Amino acid sequence: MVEANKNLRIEQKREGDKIVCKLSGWLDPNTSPELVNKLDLNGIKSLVIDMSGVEYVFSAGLRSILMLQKLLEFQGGNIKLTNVSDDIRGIFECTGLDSLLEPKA
Amino acid sequence: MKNFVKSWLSKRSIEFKVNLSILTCIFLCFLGLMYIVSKKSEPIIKDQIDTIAQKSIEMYATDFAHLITDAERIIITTKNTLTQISKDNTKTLNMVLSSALQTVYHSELTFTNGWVYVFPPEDVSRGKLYLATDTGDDDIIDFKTEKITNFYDRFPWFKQVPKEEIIYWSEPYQDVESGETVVTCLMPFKFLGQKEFTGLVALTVNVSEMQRNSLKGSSFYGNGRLLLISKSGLYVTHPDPNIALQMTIFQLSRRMNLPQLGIVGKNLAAGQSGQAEIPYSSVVDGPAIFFYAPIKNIKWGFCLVYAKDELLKPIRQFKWVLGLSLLLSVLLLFLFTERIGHHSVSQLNTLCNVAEKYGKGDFSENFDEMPTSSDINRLATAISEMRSDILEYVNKEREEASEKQKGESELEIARHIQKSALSNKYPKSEAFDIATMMIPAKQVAGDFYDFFFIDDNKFAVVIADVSGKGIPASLYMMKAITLIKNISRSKMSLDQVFDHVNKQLCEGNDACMFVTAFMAVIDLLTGKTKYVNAGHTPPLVANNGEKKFLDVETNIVLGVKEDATFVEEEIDLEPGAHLLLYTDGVTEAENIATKFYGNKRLMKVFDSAGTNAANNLSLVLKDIKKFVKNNPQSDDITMLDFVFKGYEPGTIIMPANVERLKDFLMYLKDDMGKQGLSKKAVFNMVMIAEEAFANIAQYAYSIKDNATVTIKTRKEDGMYYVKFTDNGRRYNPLKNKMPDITLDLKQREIGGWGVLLLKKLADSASYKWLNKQNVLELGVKVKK
Repeated sequence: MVEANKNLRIEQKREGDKIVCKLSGWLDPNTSPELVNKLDLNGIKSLVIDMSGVEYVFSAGLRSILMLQKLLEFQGGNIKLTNVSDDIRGIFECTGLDSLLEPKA
Repeated sequence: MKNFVKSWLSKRSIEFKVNLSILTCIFLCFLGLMYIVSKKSEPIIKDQIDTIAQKSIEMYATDFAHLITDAERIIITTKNTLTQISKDNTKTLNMVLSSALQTVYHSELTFTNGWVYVFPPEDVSRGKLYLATDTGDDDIIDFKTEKITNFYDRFPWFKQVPKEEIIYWSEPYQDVESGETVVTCLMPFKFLGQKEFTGLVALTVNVSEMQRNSLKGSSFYGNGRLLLISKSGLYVTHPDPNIALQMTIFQLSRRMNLPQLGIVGKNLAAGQSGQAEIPYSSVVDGPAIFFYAPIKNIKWGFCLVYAKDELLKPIRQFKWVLGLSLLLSVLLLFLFTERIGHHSVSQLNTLCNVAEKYGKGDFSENFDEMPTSSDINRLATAISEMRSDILEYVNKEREEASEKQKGESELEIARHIQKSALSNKYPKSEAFDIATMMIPAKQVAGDFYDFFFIDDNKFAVVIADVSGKGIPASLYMMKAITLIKNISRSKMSLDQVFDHVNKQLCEGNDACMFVTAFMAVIDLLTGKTKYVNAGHTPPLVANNGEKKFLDVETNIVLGVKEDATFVEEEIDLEPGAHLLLYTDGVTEAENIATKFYGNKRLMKVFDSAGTNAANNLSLVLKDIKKFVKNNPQSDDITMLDFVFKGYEPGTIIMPANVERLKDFLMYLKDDMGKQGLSKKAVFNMVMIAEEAFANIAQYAYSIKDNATVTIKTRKEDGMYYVKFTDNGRRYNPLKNKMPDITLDLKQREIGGWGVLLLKKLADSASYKWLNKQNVLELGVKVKK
């Protein structure tokens, strides 16, 4: 359990009503709940997640991201994923969630 | 209805039932008896009556016939005298007539008149009549002689008289002067020296008088009414004056439409006697029975007529008497049985009351006075004896119970500790089969077994025996079992594990208890098995076609010597091998002859062991029981059978635990790297394999303990396949509902992505429910 949780590193920076968050590791059933727990979205209108260090996003990860989106939506904000690898982009595309992604440069 | 009667009866008392059954029996007997008697007696009585009546009428007819004979004798005597005198000797003629009538006076006949008629042979109707008439005064006869010009006017019936020397009886008729019913008896005769009949001698007798006289000597049954019928069937006497001397029986038969009457008349004319039932007779004004008999010499007949009812009256009376006596008897019997039943039952009731009190635990009352009835007395004696036995037993029990209770509760605690310490969830795995058995002896000993995974593919089996019995042994066992399990998870070698366990068991072991133990750890992927022993009996092993007791370094028992050392040993198990771990309760099971079951027998029964661990154990147990028979078990019998099956190449076994997800995926990535899959193919397989594994861990298993999933990889025809096999709940992830990806984000549900990914990323996916296992196979193209 301890090892598994170390599998995801979360660095976050808060600027007013915006959080920029850098993730590295896997977004799997063990780590994903942590993502929702660790980010304090109170008063946040914009969440930018830097996905450059993320190797895999499994269904549990998708679920967590969608949950964050719903929370922000409620506050009138939104979520943006940046630096998404091609593989993970493929996952978002085939699940129809690619609107969350920063358009490909 | 039948059920109602049944249930009603079952609620009645014995007394009631006994009385009811006796009365019913008796009533039925009487009823039967009455039926038989009335059925049988009726014809007998009737026969009797018939016989009496018939005899009466015949006797009467005979008596009457005698009177007739008397009259005829007088006529014949008179005629004989007249035939010896001449025609003109009228003096003599009167004398003869007088003497004839004198004879009548001395007989039982009553004459109205007597006469002699003398006529010329050429003209019968003209002649001289010498008439003697009864005056009514004793012995005085009035003589008259008159000339007759037309004899037929006076005696019309004379025309029918044959001109023969025989007696002729006229039909009865009413005498003009006296009004009595009379009949004339006459006979033609010839005077001395004459050739033709020129005279008649006659006697007119009173029929009613004759009838009265003939009745004198005889009697007949009951109120019979007598009818006299003449030769032609004419009723001489009949209660109805319109019939008497007016009508014949044949005429009446026709008029009343009673053919039976006609038959009576015919039979009488033919000289036969008998009886007949007539539906209606005016004589009795109803149905009647006729008994009839002929009066022989004059062809007349008598009828004795009874009302049918009257004749059967005695039979009815008899039946009434019978019925009444039946009722009376039943009543008497009822009173009698009721008294007897009540008396017996009252004694029983006393017994019941006392027994009821005993049942409630009140033994204060005994019988004041023993019942007199022999069988009830026996019961009472038995109950009384039972009372004293129970009282004695209860007192003894009370004393023993308090002591026993202490011991028993201790035993219960020890047994509970032992039971709760033992693993009872068998891991399901295709790599091995395991079964255990523990049959505790009466006194709890400290045997135990254990089995657990040390890591994904290493499985440990332990058997041990703690010295001593009771709670202390149980607690020591708990300590040992916990130590062994915990320390072996540190992944130390087994000699080190036992070293640590030994040291900790030595600590504070003032009671000087010890444990013998054997432990083996099997690598399920390779069959490489490490084992260590601490003074325990060596297990049996069947491996590579060879069966033997495992070569083990005995070493010292645990808990005695703090600096003891242990040796880890090793054996390679081939698929199909098996290990039988046991305690000395097995080999030292004793039969009545105090012989041990022993190693040889165990080895022999082990020969027939197969790949089903549970079957193997029951096989051994059956053999032990056969040997021991009824001898009580002195020690725990504890066994563990482990059958190694092994895996196909490319197989791993993972605990079905989502925390092990990354380990599994890393193994998979490593394997795919070795197999030369493209980067894209590896990514896709990791994505879908994660999905499959997480599903199995989260959904297929409800009990996570020891649940495993077997994963087998293979490369074939440019495809790479991963097959997941698990024993969990039936669950097909491919059938899950897919989320609608065309919806706007706001309307999306949060979950359901897994199945979507499976379908989009897998190049092949199949699910089967096979042998109660979920089998899911996912495939990707090697080059993508």
